[in-house]
Amino acid sequence: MAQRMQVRGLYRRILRLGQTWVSKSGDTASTTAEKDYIKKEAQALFRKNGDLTDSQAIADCIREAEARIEIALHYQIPYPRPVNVPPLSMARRLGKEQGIVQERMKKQSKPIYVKSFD
Amino acid sequence: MGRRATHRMEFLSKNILQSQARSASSLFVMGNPVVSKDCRSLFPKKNLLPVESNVQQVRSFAKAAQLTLETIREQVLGVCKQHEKVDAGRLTLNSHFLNDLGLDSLDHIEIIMAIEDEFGFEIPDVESDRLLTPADIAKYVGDKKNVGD
Repeated sequence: MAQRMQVRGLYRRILRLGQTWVSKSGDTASTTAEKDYIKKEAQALFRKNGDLTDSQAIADCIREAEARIEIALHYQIPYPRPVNVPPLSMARRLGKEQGIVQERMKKQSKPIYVKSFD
Repeated sequence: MGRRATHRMEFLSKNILQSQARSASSLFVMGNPVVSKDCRSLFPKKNLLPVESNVQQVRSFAKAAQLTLETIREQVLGVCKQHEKVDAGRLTLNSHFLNDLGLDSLDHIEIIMAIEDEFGFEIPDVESDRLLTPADIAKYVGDKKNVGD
């Protein structure tokens, strides 16, 4: 119940941020594009994770949303912050299976704010 | 019309008459005043405008338009129709967002945000939980804006 209220508040907050968003470069084309992106992204991700029931998973999603909000406000960039592959591991080659060690290293080092992306 | 309004009308008409009289007496053509011999015709004993006037109240720019429950309902329906997922053909005043129109709670949040933008005041989450039909929303906005029925 409390989580439901939190999620609602986050959704509202993101949409309101999107309404008053100004792009870092300042030109209107990128401002419109970023506003659109914020709205579409919020709608897609919130709906994708809407059926979760496990409270830990929901808490993770809430943390992801909050982290992305803070990062977007700090850098004035709404797109997800790219993350490097951890040291001593390799980026996945298309079609190839990864080793168990590689998988574990990547899983451990993947930050919360790119949880929804591969 | 009330007493004050008629008084204002009399005041205005008196001013108009006086300015007409002034302008009439200051009209000179080639140095000769052109004025009617009997200025008293400009000051009739009776009021020019009848007490029960048909003059419409002019809307001033600073004051907002008068809100009635009907206009609020129309605005709410308009806002709901603008949402992409709302089927305008099936939308009525009493259609439930979740049950009848098949929206989910996130769409409901978006609609409530659009209503907030339309009417210019915040609706807290606790109260927006109850607002699940356009009729409820219109009633709530009417209460907040102190619109008489």
